[in-house]
Amino acid sequence: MSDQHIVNMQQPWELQHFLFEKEPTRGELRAYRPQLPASFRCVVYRNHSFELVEHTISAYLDFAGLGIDFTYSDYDDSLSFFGLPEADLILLWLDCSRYRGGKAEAEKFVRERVTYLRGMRKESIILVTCGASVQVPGVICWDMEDTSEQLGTSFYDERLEKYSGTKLSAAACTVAARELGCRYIPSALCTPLKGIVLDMDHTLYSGVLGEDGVQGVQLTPAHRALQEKLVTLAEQGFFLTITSKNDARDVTKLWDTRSDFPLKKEMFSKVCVGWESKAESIRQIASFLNIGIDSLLFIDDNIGELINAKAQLPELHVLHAQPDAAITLRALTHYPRLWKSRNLAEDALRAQDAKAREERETMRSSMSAEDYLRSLDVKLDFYVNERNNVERISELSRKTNQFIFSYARYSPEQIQALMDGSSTAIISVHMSDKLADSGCIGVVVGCRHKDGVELQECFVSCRALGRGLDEVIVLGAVRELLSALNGDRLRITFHRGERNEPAARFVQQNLSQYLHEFSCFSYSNPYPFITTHTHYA
Amino acid sequence: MLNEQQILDIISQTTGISEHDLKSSPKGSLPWDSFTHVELIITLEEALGTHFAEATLKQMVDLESVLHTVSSLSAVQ
Repeated sequence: MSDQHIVNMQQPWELQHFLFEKEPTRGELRAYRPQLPASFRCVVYRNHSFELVEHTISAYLDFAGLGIDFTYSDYDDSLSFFGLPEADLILLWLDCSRYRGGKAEAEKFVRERVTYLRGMRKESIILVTCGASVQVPGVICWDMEDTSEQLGTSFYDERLEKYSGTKLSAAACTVAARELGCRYIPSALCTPLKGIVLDMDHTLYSGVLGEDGVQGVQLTPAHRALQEKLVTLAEQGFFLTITSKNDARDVTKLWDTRSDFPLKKEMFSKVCVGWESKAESIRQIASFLNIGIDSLLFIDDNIGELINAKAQLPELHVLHAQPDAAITLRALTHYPRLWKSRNLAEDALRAQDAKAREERETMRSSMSAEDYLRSLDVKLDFYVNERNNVERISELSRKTNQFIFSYARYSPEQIQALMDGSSTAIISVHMSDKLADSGCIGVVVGCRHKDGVELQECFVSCRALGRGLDEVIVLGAVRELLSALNGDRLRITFHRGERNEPAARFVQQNLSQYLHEFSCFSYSNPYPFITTHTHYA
Repeated sequence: MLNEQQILDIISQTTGISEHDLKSSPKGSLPWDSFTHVELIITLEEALGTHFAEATLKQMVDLESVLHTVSSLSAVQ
């Protein structure tokens, strides 16, 4: 292909414009050359060809910040999985109409084989089926029904099957590239984002608050749709926050009076209004939420603000809001790491807990540490092998980056197996106080040896840290672990990673004597006013 | 309507094969693989705003037949 037809993008917003301003053609997507080196390996196990998807996926994967090397299995309807090489991701790409015996039989067969694969492999697995719908626990499943409905008769193109090796049309393969590149593959390989930092003027509405006034700014139909999408994301557990260069009184008045806005004041976990740099506001927001800058997406219509913020905070994710909010909405809807393959009840607790955080900070600054803890009315519930919370425990293991001992990253099946094992146990910790229910915020995983109990992993949500309760949570959970495994001697496993400094400090201060050999462990809660309960499976 | 040179340009761009190499390709076989053939068909269909019938696709067995078939279809558009 000649050089003038190769598409290169230097900045994230250039790629965003290419992908979402108008729908790029297949030719344009094919001409795109990936900017990122392949740092992940994906094995595609298939019974029809995937090549037409791979031809157009690079730009979407770059948008997701992922470089992927795809390798292919032979075509195999039997799903034997012989010789399946090790990888970071296994993508099962199956045309279920190839199986005789009808849809129900095909679904049963595929479910059985994929369940078998799930049990024997630790990699993330994505199952994409057409012609049938199959759900397998611990596997990210997509039946392409939404694409089939969207494309109608253009979903299949049997004219070209003898050349392409698939019944799927090129249009269906292009949609699959977008969905896999922006949603399914990032969901399998990356930790999700945690929050969105929003500019206001020309982003959430049309107009400038300081010039047009509270009633003068316009909620266009596209801006309404964008705000509704943000409401949905808040309901799914993403923090919504604001950084705005405006007069604070105008901002307060806007959120108090514009009842037509789908977004409401109480949906924002933190609002930073003023004239300081937005990078500084974003730092404050990240610190307030106790999350990394790399867990935030910043949306602003001003490209200069994006450039400045990105220069000071290179790990920040950015999205360029457009005058036509429908374009912003398209990009947001497909923004990688904002899409979840499933939503847990726990997600809904997150924003409420973050709002309570501000109130806790105010309380803490006005009284002694002990009075503060006493006034919170904290309750801790320790669950031994909490089988009805396997998904959340697995999710927490995959999302936690700061307070984690070994980066074990358990799948739901691995969690289930550890709960079922005769010499292993999992303690999950739920926390609530008078301001909010934080849900499941910490987990310890252990294994019984002849000399004692080995603490294999410990991870605690950033939401629970910094309340002065780290010891009660972790050491209390370790005590329950030893009790569940009938041991009194402890050894811990710890691996220093890029970002687990808080966990390293905790280990140094509280558990260093257990790092290399088994030693007797005992702990009692020093705060009698903190209520604790232990629940057994 | 596309003339033969325009069609040749599209083929060269889509397949990544230079015009010179295309012209020296043997008769009776396509000088690109089957996936590239699908991409080429789709690109030509987009350029002409039509869908090739299965019988038309069967006629496209080498460069010359592709040029001839597409030129003929383009002429009647």
